[in-house]
Amino acid sequence: MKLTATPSDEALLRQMMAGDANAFEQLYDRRQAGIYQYALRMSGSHTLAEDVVQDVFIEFLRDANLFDSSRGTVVGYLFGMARHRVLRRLARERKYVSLIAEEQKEEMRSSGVPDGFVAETDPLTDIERSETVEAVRQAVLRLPEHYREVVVLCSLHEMSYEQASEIIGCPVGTVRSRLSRARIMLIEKLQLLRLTGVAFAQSARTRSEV
Amino acid sequence: MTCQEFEQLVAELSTDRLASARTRVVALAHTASCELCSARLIAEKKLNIGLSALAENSNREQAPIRLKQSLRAEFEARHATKSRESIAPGVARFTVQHSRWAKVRRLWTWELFTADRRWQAAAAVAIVIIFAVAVSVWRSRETPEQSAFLIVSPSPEVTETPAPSKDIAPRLAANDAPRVVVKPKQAVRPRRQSPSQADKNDLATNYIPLSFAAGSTISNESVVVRVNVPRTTLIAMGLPLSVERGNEMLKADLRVGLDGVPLAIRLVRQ
Repeated sequence: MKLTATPSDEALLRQMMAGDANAFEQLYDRRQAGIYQYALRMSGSHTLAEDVVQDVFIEFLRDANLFDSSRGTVVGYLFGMARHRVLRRLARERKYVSLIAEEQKEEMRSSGVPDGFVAETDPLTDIERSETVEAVRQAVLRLPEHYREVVVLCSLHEMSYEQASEIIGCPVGTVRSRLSRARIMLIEKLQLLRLTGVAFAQSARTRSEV
Repeated sequence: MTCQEFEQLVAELSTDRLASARTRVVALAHTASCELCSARLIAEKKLNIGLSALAENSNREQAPIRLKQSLRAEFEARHATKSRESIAPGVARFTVQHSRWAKVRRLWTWELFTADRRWQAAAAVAIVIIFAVAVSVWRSRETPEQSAFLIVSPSPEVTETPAPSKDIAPRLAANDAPRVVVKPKQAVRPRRQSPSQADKNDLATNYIPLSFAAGSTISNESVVVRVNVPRTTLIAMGLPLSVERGNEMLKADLRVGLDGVPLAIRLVRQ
C-alpha cells in the first residue's frame, strides 16, 4: 500500500507562488472553512464572513511573498488577516450587527425562549435544543470583541493559547486571562450559575476579589 | 487550595487544559468541600456543553463554491500576467488591462458586490440622477431664449436673390404671406447698409417680412439698420416669439425702405 504524505501549508504556498493553481486550490480548501467560521462566529453574518474569506484570499494571492515562515504559520497568517478584516468590518457595521442581534433576541423572546438557558428540568436536555445553541450564539456575539475573539479561537476553534496569541498578537497570559473573564461573562449572561443565597453572596465576593 | 486559586483554574479544569494532573486532583478535592466552587465548576461544564453545541452547529459552514471558482480565476489571471510579463512587455500590458477589466466585471457580480460596494454603487447612481435632473432643469430654463431662434429660424420667408439679377425678386414661401421685394445686396451700398461678413455667423434667422409691408412691392433701395428691440415689440410686429421675458432686448437687423417704412427684420444672436 502506497502512502502519500499530505503537503504542509508552507509547501503548498511555495507551489502556489510558482504558479500551481491546484496548490492554491488545495490550500484554499484546507483553510477557507476555518476562516469562514471564524468570521461568522465573530460577526453572526454570512455576508460578512463571505466577504472576509474573499478579501483574505485575494490579498494572499497578491502578497503571498510577504509571508515570513520564521514569524509564524500560514494558518496564523491567514487568521491574522481575517481577524484584521473582521474587526474593521465590525467597527464599521457595529450598529448593523447589534440591530440583527436585537431582532433575533426579540424573536427568541416572542417565541418563549428564555434569554439564558436556565433549565427548569435537566440542563443537558435543554442544551441539546437548537434554541439553546442560539442563546449561546447570541451571548457570544454580545461579548466585547477582545473577549469574543478568544472564546471563538480557543473554545469554538479549539486552538491552543499559543496559536490564539499568535493570531491576536498578544502574550499567552493575556489570552488566558481574557478567556477566563469571557467565560465568567458568558456564565452570567446565560445565567448558568444557580446558587443558594449564601453561596451567591460568596460568589459575588470571590469574583470581586478576583 | 483556596477559592481564589480555584477560580483561576476552573476554566482550564473544565476544559481539561490543566497541565498538571496533581493540580487537577487538588482542585477536584476542593470542590468536594466547597459548595460555591462546586457550582462554579458545574456552570463551567454547562458552558462547555453549550459552546460545543454551538461549534458543532456551525462546523459545517463554509464559503460558497462560487467564491472558490472566482478566486481560482483570479489566481490564473494573475499568474498569466506574470508569465506574459517575462515574455513580452506589450502582451503583458494587454493582460494587465484584461485583468483590470475582469476585476471591473467581477465588481458587478454578487461575488464581489459586497454590502459596502452596493452602498457605493447606490450613491454613485444617486449622484448621476441628481446631475441629470440638474442639467435638465438648467436646460429647461435656457429653452425660452433659445426657442425664439428655434421658432423663427426654420421659416425664412424672404430669401435674398443672387447679386447679378435685378429682375428676379424673391418670393415668400407661403402664398398668403405678405410679399416683399428686397433689392440685391450689391445694389444697397453694402459697406454701410449690411453687417459685416463676419457677422453672418451671428444671424439667427433670415429676413421676415413685416405685416404692415404686406402686398407692397418695393423697388427703391433700402437700408439695413441693427437695432435693439424689446421682445414685446417684435411680438407686436407679428414675429412668432415666446411672450416670456417680454422686456428682454433682442438684437435685430431691420431693413428699412428709403421712404422710412420698415420692410423686413431678422434676428441676430446675442
